[in-house]
Amino acid sequence: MFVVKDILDLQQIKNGKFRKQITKFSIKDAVSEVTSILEMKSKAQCLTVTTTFEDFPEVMNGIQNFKICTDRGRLQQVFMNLLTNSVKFTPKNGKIHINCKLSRPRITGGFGEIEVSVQDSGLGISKEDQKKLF
Amino acid sequence: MLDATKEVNTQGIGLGLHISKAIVDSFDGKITCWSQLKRGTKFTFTFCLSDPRTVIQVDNHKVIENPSLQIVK
Repeated sequence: MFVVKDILDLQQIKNGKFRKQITKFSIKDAVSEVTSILEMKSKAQCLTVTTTFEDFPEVMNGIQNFKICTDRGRLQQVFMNLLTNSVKFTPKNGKIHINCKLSRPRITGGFGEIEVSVQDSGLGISKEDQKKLF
Repeated sequence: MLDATKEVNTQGIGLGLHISKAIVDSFDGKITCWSQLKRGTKFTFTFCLSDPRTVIQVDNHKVIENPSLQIVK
C-alpha cells in the first residue's frame, strides 16, 4: 500500500504534476520540527545531534525571525529522509551534524538558495553503492 | 505539516533517496553525497528560493502571483 503511494508520488514529482506550496517560513522551525520527530529514536541510540545555521541574517546582523520562501513540506520531506537514514545507519554514541546555509541572490542569482546538509559518523557507504544511490 | 508516517514507511524499499532526488530536481536544486566506509556520510541538498514579494503558490510550475503585490518593472 505504502509502496504504491510512494511510486505515485514519485511519478507526479517527475512529471511536474504536483502542487508546490510556496510559503514564507522559518527554516529553524522547519528543521527543529523534523529533528524533534526523530529525537526519541536518536536519544535511544545515544546520538549527539547538533544543528548550526550559516550565513543567516540572524547570525550576521541579529535580524530575528528571518523567513525563507519555498515549499516547506517538500523541504522537510527530503530532510526527513536524509536524517532518518543517518539515524538508522549511525551506531550507538555516534554524532549527527545538521548545517543550514543561506546563499544570497547575489551569489546564486534568482532569489537565493537554501542548503541543508546532514553529516553522520555512521557506517558509511562504499564507492560502489554510492553510484547507485539516487 | 509533515507527514512522518509516510517517510518512515518509505524506509527499506530504497525509494526514499529516489523521491528526494526528484523533489530536489523540481526545485532546481542539487543533492550530493560524500561518504567513507566506517568514517561517515554527508548528504547535502539545495532548494532554489522563490520571490518572497509576489509568490503565494506555484501550481504545476506556473507562478500564481498575488495581485495586490504586483511588482512594477
